[in-house]
Amino acid sequence: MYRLWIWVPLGMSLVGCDGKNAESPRIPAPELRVATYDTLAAPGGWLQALAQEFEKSCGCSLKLLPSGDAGQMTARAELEASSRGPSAHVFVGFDQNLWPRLRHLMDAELPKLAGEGDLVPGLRIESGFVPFDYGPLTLMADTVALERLKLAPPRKLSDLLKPEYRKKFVLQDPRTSSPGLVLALHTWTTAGGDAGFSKLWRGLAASWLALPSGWDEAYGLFLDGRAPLVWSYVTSQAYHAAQGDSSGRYRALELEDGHPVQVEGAARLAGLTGVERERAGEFLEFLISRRAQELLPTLNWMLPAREGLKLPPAFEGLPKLATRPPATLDPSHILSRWTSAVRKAGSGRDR
Amino acid sequence: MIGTSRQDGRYAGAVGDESLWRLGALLLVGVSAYWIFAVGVPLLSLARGVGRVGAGLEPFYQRVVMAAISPEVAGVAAFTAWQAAWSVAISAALGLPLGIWVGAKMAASAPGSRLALALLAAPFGVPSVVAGVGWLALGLPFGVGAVVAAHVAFNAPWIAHWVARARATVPARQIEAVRTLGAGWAGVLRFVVIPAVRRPALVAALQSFSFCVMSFALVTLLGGGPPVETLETALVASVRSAGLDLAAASACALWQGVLGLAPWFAALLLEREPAAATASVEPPLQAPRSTAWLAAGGAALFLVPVAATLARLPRVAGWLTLDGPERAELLSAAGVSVALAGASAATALAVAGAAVAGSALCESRAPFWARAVSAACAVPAGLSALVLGLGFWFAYSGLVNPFEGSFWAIVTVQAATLLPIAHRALHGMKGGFPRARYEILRTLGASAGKAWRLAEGPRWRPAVLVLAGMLAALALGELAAVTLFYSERLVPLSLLVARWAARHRVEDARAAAALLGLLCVALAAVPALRRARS
Repeated sequence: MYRLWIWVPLGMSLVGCDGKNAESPRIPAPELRVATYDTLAAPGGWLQALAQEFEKSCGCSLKLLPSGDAGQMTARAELEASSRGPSAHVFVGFDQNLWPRLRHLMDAELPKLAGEGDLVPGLRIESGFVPFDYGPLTLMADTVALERLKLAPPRKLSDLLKPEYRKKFVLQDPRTSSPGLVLALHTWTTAGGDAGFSKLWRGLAASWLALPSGWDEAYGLFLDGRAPLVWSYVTSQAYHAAQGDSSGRYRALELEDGHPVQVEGAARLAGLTGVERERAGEFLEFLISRRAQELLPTLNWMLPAREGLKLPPAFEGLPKLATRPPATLDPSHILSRWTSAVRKAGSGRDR
Repeated sequence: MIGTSRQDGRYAGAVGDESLWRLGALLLVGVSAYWIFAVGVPLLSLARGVGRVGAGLEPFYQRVVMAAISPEVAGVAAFTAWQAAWSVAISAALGLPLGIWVGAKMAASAPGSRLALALLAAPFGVPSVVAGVGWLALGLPFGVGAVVAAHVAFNAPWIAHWVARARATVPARQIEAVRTLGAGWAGVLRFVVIPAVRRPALVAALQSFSFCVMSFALVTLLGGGPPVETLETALVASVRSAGLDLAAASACALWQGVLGLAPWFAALLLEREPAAATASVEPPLQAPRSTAWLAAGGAALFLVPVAATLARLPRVAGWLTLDGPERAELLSAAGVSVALAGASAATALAVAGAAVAGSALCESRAPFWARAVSAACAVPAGLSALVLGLGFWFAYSGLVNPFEGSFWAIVTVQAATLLPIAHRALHGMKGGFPRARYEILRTLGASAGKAWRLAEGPRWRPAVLVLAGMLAALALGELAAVTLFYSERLVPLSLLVARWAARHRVEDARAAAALLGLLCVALAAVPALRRARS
């Protein structure tokens, strides 16, 4: 009896750990399985809204696999690849900075997709990466709060180092938040190298109100009135407009040092064959179809990757920002420099 | 003494009943099997699994050691210990006098004293995310001061609770005797009260240190981000988004294990000789002259942040009266949450109860096994739910597909993380075995198992009821295991809060957090109040 208690779970775990080929996906044949981040798969999310339509058009069954946020989805894919094999045929929702971690698991040899020629130039950063939306990032301002504080909106990021903006802005932790990471990489290219980068972040760390781990917490503080400025997407302005902000209280600021762009993409798992491979390709094509792209803006609050679409009225007032083309930098070195700069800034911890 | 006899006390072989020893051995086998399944195998699989991911030139263990002694991780470990030490010091300074005060009122059966005790237990059952949202609503400035303040609001009542219970058992005659010898209140405190409460206070303080080491939500919400960073937030940063640095994550987990487990083992050593009769409250020598409503008010102060979160409840009430999508989502999530919390609490209680009873019954014949099981029950205290869940995922991914969602995977991981608390809370039950009652029942012809159950039942039931509510409340706010094993059909409230917040629905998310807070307070406080009334 005693032995049974020990060996049954032990045996089960060994099957779980070692019995799988790390590269072969274990997927039932008739179903297309799509891993994505939570908000795309949840009721009211973009993919959830498209699922039925795709099932009808391909005559197959589509299963959405919500996997936390984009970072968690990527980590899960990496861990699965080392144990049980990836569970999904298609991965949707990683951005250009997460892509290098997934690239080796994905199919780099996609055939030409219908609608590919209509994509906004520069978004297709690499073969295998299919962009489906993008969003320039900027500082969102609560203009009423700024006016009350008698503060002019900052014109460039380094303005945030001025004493009048102390404790007046919220950024995101680049180690855990994708908009935060986009900002860190952007400043690496604009601050003129390591010294400028460290100086900028030491100053920001001494001055920000908070650096939450995710965009949602940061934006919550902004909406709560704790800080009049927050790092966010330009499309946040469209969201507020759609919610009835006709006075333009929440405004996306135009910064002189340019704006980084976050591009979200989808990819097909490498090693698929036959019907699975075909359906996964069809799904990628469907994501950039006119119909799917038209639904995207108000369901995911990002800009569609396809050009020439009529955007909802809330998007019409968005400022035309000077964007910098998305770059795929290796974040590990930059984040290590970032960590060291921020830790130096906070010797007293209680800021 | 009332309620106990000279023969009562620890089992320690005094019972001398072969059937009881067999029953104890069976219980310990069950606990050992659970531990191997839920903790041992996942940890082993995790160690093997992470070694295979992102393999570099050096062996994995070498990378972990290098990361652990690197200035970055060692600095975070030092800061974690520093903030935990401050939190505990301030908590003890507040909790000790408050606990003695409430305990004295309880000893005098003052009206309101049981309510005060229940209120001291309530904050512990509130998920840290709910309290954190409340602190934010109160406008606490970000920084390490806010983190320490929030920890104190959890730990001071926790210390006070245990001190009050210990103080309440101090015999009134003993105090009268010391007074008769000419001692003033300071003398009573020094010679009677402090010796009686010292050990429970120290044990609660050591546990509080461990909770602060594992703290995540409060540090994330109130610290304001780096440089205010603890091992748990650094661990999460290592495995999320920007990079999957498993060596750094393992180094953080290693430090957490050391800092989080040491206090629990110290507490276990302190408890190796439990008090002989913890349940012997004497009737007061005279009728109560004062009430404890002021003490209850003092205890209620620790619930102010929770009240700030609950202020959003009217929005929830609005949803529930309308037949909108929020109502369906909210009701479904609340149902899932309660089911998960109930199953997790029941599992943790069953395992902890079996461990305590089994080790008590086997202490004389298999002392090493009994102590090993007690020590094993403390091990999850040094492990974050994320680490344990990831290990479970590695170990049983052949059986559990995380994308399909698994109710029992969530329950197993949550129950394992609750096990140290449940075990600690029930540990005191080892003492005070009603041997006389047991022997009478045996003489009357009851089997050993039945006699044991009938003799012990009345003693265990109230403690188990209160503990069940507290554990269920703790499980209700847990998110790490949930994010690993949920599916669209298995979305609890804690996940719904995070999901709504991520979709710009900040106000909705806070209202859902208020509902979560309400459920937690109800689960933690209602059994405690029922017990107080009885």
